[in-house]
Amino acid sequence: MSPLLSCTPDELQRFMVTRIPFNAFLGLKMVRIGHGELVADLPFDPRLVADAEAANLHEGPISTLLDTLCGTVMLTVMDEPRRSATLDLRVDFLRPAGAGLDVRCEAEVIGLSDHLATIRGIAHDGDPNRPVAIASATFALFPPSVSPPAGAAS
Amino acid sequence: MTAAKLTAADVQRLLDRVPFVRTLGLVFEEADGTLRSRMPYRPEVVGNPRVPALHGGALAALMEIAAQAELIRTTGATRVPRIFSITAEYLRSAALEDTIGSATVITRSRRFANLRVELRQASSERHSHPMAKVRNEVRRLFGRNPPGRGRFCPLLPLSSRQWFDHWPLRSSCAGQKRPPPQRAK
Repeated sequence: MSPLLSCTPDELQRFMVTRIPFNAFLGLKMVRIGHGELVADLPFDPRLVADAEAANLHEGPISTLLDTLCGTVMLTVMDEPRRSATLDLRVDFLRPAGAGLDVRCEAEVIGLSDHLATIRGIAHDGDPNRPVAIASATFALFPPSVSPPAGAAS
Repeated sequence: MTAAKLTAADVQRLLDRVPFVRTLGLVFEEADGTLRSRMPYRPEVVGNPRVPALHGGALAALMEIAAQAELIRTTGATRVPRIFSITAEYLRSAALEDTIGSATVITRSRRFANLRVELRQASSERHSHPMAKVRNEVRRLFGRNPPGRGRFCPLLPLSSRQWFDHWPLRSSCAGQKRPPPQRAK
C-alpha cells in the first residue's frame, strides 16, 4: 500500500502544500486521498481573480491545482514513492468559475505503466457534473530512489 | 480590419486590471518588435525547492497570460481574451530566475485564435530549445455567446466530450452509469 494513504490530513497538507512554495502561496487545501484519487480545494482569494467585477478565479491557479494533483495522484497507487516529471498537460476550460466560489479539483489515475502515468482531472465549483475545467496529463516516472537525469522537468 | 498594434504599456495597463497578473507581478516589455511577458523570480513561485525548480503551474499560468498579452497586442482588444484550452509541454525544469514568455499567433479568426508560446530563461540561452512551450493554445477572442443561439458550446471537440462522458470520475459520479456516447450519423 502506498505510504501516502496512511498519512494524517496534517501530514498530507504538509507533503502537498506547505513544502511546495507555490502551492502554499495559492493556499491549496487538501480534502481527500484514496487509492488512485486525490481531491483538493482552491479557496477563493481576491489575489487570484481573473476579472475583478466577475470575481471568478483565474485560469492560472486552476491549471496549477490540476497540475499539482495530477502530478501526485499516481503516488497513491505505488508501494514506494517515485519521482515524476510532467511531460504534457492539457487543460480545457469549459466555463468561468462562479463568482466568489472555491474551486475543487479531483484527479484520478487512468493508466499506469512502468515509465508512464496517464492522469485525468476535473475542476468544478460545487457541482461535479458541471466542471469548470478538465485536464489530461502524462507523466514520466523515474525508477524508485534514483534521481532523474539532469535537465528533466520536475 | 487590421487593428493598430498596441504598445507593451497598453498591454500592461489592460492586463494589470487582472488581479492574478498583479499577484504574479508580470511585466510586459517590447524587444525587437516582439512582446515579452516576464515573470520575475520570487520565492513564492518555486515548485520544488530540492531540484530546485519553478512550479509547472506557475509556468502554465505565464504561458496563458503571455498568449493573452500577444493577442491583445495584435488585435487591439479592449477586453482580456478568454482561454478555452491549453496544451503545455514541459521540456526541462525551470531555474530560479526570471522567465520570459513570447507568443506567436498561428491563426486568428473573428472568434478564435491559436497561439504558440515559448518560455525561456537567461541561463538556458545556450539550449537550442525552449524550456516549455504551449503546442496549441486556442482561445476565444470574445467571451460572449452569439445572440439567439442558446448555449453555444464550441469549447470542447466532440472526441473530448465523448471521452469525458465515457470516463466519469469514480469519486464524483459514484454509482452513476452513463450510456456510451452515440456518434452522430
